[in-house]
Amino acid sequence: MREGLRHIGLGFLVLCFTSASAAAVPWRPLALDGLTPLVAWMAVRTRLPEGILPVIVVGMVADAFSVGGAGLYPFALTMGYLLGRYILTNMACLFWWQKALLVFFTAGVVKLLLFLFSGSLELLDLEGVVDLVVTSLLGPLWFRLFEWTALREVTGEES
Amino acid sequence: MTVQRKGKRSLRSRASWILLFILLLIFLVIGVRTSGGWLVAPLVRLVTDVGGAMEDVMGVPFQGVRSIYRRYIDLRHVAEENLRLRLEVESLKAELARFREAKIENIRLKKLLRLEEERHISPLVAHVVGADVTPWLDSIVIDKGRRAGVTEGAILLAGAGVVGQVVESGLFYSRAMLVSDRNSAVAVLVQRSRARGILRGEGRGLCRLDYVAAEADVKVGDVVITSGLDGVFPKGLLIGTVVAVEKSDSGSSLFKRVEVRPDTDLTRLEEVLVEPPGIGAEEKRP
Repeated sequence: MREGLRHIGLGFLVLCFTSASAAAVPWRPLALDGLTPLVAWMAVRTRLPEGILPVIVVGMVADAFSVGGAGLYPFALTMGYLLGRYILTNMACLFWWQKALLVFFTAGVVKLLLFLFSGSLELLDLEGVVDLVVTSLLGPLWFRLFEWTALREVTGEES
Repeated sequence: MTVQRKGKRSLRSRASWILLFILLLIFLVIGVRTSGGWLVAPLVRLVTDVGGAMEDVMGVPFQGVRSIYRRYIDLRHVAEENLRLRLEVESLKAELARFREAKIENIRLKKLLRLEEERHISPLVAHVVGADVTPWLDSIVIDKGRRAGVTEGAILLAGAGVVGQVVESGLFYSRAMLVSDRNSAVAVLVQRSRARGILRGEGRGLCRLDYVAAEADVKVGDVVITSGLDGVFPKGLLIGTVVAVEKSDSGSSLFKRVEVRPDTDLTRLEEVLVEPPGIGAEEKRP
């Protein structure tokens, strides 16, 4: 419960950061997308079924940060989380490249579903691919940041 | 052996139940969200307000980086831009003289026809603090909300023309959809030929003109303005310039394919003017 709430709070902060960075960059694929790495990280940290509720809530919050179709984010993020869980039952996620691959696949599913169900599939061209690659390359850095916040929580509890 | 099979079966059955539960939960969330009931709207406004404040704070370092980048870009083209602007000022001076004459004539004719006085609007200046988290959707967050008089439907202006409309207004922050967003539609006309159409967003700061008749007189370089027929945007606001005109893909099509580049660079908005909603409806009154 407590971890779930922390994930939701983290999701909100990441969304604020993503939105603020998107307003500043001249080319949108360069905006720092922390949402899909967060979903991948949540897939690593939590198991089914208890891990699904925070993902859906983060999706609902993400919906409020966009003018896209209502309910699209909870659906896309949940599917990304489920794919992340499926991948993690078959492989470990220890090295940076493994984390990058996990984020690549999770972000791929999330973005593909968002493109598809917002009726913008034709925009999944070079720009969409660049966005995906940049997101997955930055994924391990986001993981480090999320793990740092989680570690702070643990050490805070201990002290 | 039998125990193992039973274990596998129970695991599969558990996974099926979990998946069913997740699907039901997602459908429930989509249902509640799309209904937009009494519970959802205040929550969305709360998220807009709190999120807007956070974005305002988090955006400070990004704005610093952006200003350095802009200054560098500005410096690179300053000499040629200076020359171009001087020439433009000369031509604008001549044009201004003609417009002054037209304005005086307009005032005189309005008085003659006893039309309403020109409306006096004092638009608010708002700063852009955030953008849509979905890269291909064009919406922005501005630092003015209901407290400053900004409500849903308020019009956003920048540079010489219209850039969007407020779709969600919190107490202190609002979210606005830009004209280049794929969900946006504005009734417009081509200034020169008065050909009408619907301006739709294409994403990435670009727009296209729909429902322009195949025989309509539209050329590259034509200026596109709002027609006021949608009852949202007032008539005569500048939108952009026609950059491409093509026949539609299907040979038997009744319409042209017209691409429009907005007059203001929508990907680099920093400040906007917010005008109260309902002006378009007033314009339509006889």
